[in-house]
Amino acid sequence: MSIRRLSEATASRIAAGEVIERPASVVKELVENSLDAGATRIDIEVRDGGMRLISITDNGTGIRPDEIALAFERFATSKIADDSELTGIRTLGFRGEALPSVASVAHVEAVSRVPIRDSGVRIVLNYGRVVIQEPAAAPPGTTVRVSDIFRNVPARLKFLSSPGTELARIQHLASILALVYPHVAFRLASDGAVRLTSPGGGDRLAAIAAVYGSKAAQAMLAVEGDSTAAFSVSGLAGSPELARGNRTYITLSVNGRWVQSRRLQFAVEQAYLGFLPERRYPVAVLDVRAPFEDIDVNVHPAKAEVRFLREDIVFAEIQRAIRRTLTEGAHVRPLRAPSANPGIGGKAHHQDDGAARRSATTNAVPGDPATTPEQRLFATEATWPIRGQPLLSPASGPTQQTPTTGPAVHPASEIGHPLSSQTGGAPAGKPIPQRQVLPVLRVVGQAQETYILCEGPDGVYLIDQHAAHERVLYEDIKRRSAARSVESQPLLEPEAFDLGPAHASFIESHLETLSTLGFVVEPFGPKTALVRAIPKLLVDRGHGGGKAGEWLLRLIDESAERGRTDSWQDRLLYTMACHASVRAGQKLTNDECRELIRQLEQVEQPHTCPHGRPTMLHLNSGHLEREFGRR
Amino acid sequence: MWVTCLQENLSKGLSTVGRAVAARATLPVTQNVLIRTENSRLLLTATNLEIAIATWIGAQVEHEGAVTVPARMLTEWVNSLPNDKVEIELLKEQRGIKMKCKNFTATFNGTDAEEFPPIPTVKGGVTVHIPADQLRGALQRVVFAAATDDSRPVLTGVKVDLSESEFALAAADGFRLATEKGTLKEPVSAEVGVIVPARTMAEVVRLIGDQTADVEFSINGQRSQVLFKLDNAEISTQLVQGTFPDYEKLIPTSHGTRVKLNLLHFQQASKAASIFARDGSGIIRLIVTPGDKGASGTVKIQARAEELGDNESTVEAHVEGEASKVAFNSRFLTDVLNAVQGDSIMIEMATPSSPGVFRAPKHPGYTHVVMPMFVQWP
Ligand SMILES: Nc1ncnc2c1ncn2[C@@H]1O[C@H](COP(=O)(O)OP(=O)(O)OP(=O)(O)O)[C@@H](O)[C@H]1O
Ligand SMILES: [Mg+2]
Ligand SMILES: [Zn+2]
Repeated sequence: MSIRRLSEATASRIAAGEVIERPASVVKELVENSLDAGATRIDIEVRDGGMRLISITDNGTGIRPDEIALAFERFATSKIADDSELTGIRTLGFRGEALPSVASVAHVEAVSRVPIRDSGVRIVLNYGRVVIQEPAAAPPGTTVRVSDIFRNVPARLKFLSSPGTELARIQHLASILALVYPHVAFRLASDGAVRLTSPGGGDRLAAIAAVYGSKAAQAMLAVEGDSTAAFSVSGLAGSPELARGNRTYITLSVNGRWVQSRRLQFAVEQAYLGFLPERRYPVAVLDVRAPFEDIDVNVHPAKAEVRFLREDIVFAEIQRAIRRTLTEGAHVRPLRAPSANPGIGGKAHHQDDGAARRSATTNAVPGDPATTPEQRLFATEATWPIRGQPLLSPASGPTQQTPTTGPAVHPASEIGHPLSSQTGGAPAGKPIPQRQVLPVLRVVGQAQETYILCEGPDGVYLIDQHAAHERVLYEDIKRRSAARSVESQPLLEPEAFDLGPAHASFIESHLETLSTLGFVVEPFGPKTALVRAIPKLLVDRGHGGGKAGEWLLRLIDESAERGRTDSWQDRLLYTMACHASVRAGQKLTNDECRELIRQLEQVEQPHTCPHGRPTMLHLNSGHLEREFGRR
Repeated sequence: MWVTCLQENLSKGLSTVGRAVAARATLPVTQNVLIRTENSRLLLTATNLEIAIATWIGAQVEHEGAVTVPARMLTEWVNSLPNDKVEIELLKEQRGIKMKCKNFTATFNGTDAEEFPPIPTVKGGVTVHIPADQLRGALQRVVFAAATDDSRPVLTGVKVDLSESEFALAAADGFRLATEKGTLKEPVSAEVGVIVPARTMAEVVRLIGDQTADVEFSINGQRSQVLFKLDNAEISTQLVQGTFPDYEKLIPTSHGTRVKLNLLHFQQASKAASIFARDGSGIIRLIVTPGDKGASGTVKIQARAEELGDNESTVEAHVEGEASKVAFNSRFLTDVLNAVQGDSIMIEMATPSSPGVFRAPKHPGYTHVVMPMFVQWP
């Protein structure tokens, strides 16, 4: 389609605003143009963090000589013709705003050739004004060079950070683009040094290896969406070991368009609940497929946000897809070889990313183009031999037990009993919840009155009795609370307790929910409430008889931590499970150990406690043999 | 030589005081046992600063002396000896002991007896005597109802009330209450009420054993310490401070249904039910049906384990009043059934949500109140 100017009516409906804020915005706009032009190779070159020069070269369709001047005019676009097309946009660009915006704040030179023509065109603009337009020899595709950005707007120049920081932004952006568009070979060079290259060709895992390193790539689990469904999610989700200290490793796109949606990110974090400790965030690269009519991309001037018509479906799909991947691909965290980690105590993986980054820089191989800061970051954190479904080395066996090795842990309904679909055991369309499967474990004994030592098919397992029991109780009470059947033990005498204003309003507004959690409470005057019953779970562990009210407040406080993505009800359940479970330091008989393992085999997520801490460590046979010099 | 005694006696004495030895000590000497000669006997004392137990064993004393030595090591070693004469020698400056039994010898390093915390004396208050079997029985039926969670310390104790010729014990954990009244040997000089830690009471039960003589119970003038004098041991303890709930008003004064069941049959039925309750919600349901004109009624005892199955047994019962239903926490029901003796047990109830009252003809002074669970009845 040729470039045309949009009508004023259409132009006025386009979300307007600042398009170019900093060098990285220029990179984003120009790369998006290259992507829209069908490029499979995009080279980005910057000088001084993009402040002196940004040059983007692609092998796309090119711009016709008779249209190139128009491309630099406002609201001139080849991507939509009128506002009826504003819904259902499939291209990244649609406003006809990017090139003129860039040109208005920088010196721009563009050279382009449409592949079927013999010669191309060169245009030079000085802060918005065309100064040269001439025929030029050029390879097929387009190069846009943007120099001396904001020289004409000193106020904006002042807002830029140091060249180093601007470069970091560009590099982060280039990493994301490489992850979201794996079919494009990206190359980023800064001041002559190559900072990032991705192979292109469409392999997302190869893109991850290029950006985060091959260790990280090995720990990614494939999220496979149902391509026939209207809404689906596909891509790669990092296994829990890969957890990071911040959210910047969650990369999302919608129908192939990179989006920075806080809400979608939140959905991904939620899907990891229970798999990650608090304040750890996953690594994920995911694409959401949704009907184009369901998406509104025209909501944000920099096109970073999108709006969904049916957001709840999208959320549910993200959750379902990730959780299924995690539960199927979940694996016991293997113990790290002590020799691989000299001098670092058990806290090794808790060191903050900052520390890792600092040590990373000192370990970096200077001038090695393949070593991005991200790669180094992942490389320095202790990584484990990952036993999930390593996509790069499918040689190691799957964790999923075959039914023959463990019928006891594989109830018929879970392995798709031939009868279950015929009898309508599972409602149509609703997937049977997938369970992580534990290997068959034989209890050897208790160690330090804290761990249960077990033998499994592939080595030795240490199970944290508290964490394991907490998981068992949590899933039990969670199921009961969902079925509104949490057993509640009434008190001999209802107990009045004093409340501060915050607790009072909290309790008042959640009476109903509290009762589904087992707390029967009644308001009783402005600063007092009456507890009539508390969850039987707590009573059975000898809790709560003394001061039921205080117990409730304590649970509310312990569950009230802000900034978490899980609900307070869930946190209340964790806290209850935590208080009701066996403690470290409690002696268990062999029978009790066996019973606990049996119960752990029945739960959905046996590998972590509800707070996300691991319930078990695995010392695999091969590792033992190596360490003992048997092999 | 310092003293000579029999291995059997020494072993028994050490086990008597053993429960008072501090497990993890802030004051290390409390992990030791104090050994002191006293009137040609050997006095063994251990304390964890809350509770102190002292006992005497017969011995041949050559000269007076005292020392403390690590309790656990000494006890384990003595238990491994043959039953024979044990000779104990006091090391210089009372720094420990050397022991010999047949061909076994051992040296235990210890500390000077002066370092052992003084055991508070209990005097200036009231003293009463209680028949041993009465006290033991009443405690066995009451102590288990005390709270194990110390969020409300008074509930971790057993309330002891003395007035005129009567004693009353009570323990409650917020969901159930157990109380028993009995008679004192002689009237008490003043009405008193104290709260004794349930842990101490459990020790008292253990040490009364099959003693037949009366137990002497004293409370000090400040009402802060009590002492139980048994045949061969003394237990003193600090009291729990605070106000125990007015438990009398928790005992329902009326009921619509009263059932009397054969204790053994009821125990068997609820044991069977608790197997199902354990894997399910932990609840046992009782359905009381009166008999037709003079015929005996029945109590159905049911429990279910959600997906696993359910169970029901029927026990014949003498039912007075209306048909009734009630559900109990299976642990609470099992506890009370195991605590009582005799041929039968009685339950009084009003509505499914009002407390059930358990009584046993064998123990006229005993009342046990349990708050039922709210459940859906089909
Ligand atoms: N690298 C390129 N290869 C081919 N055509 C290009 C390229 N860059 C720009 N164009 C053409 O120039 C037009 C204007 O580009 P511009 O970025 O200003 O607007 P847009 O991409 O249509 O919309 P938006 O403002 O949302 O980016 C595009 O519609 C496209 O036809
Ligand atoms: Mg564009
Ligand atoms: Zn936890």
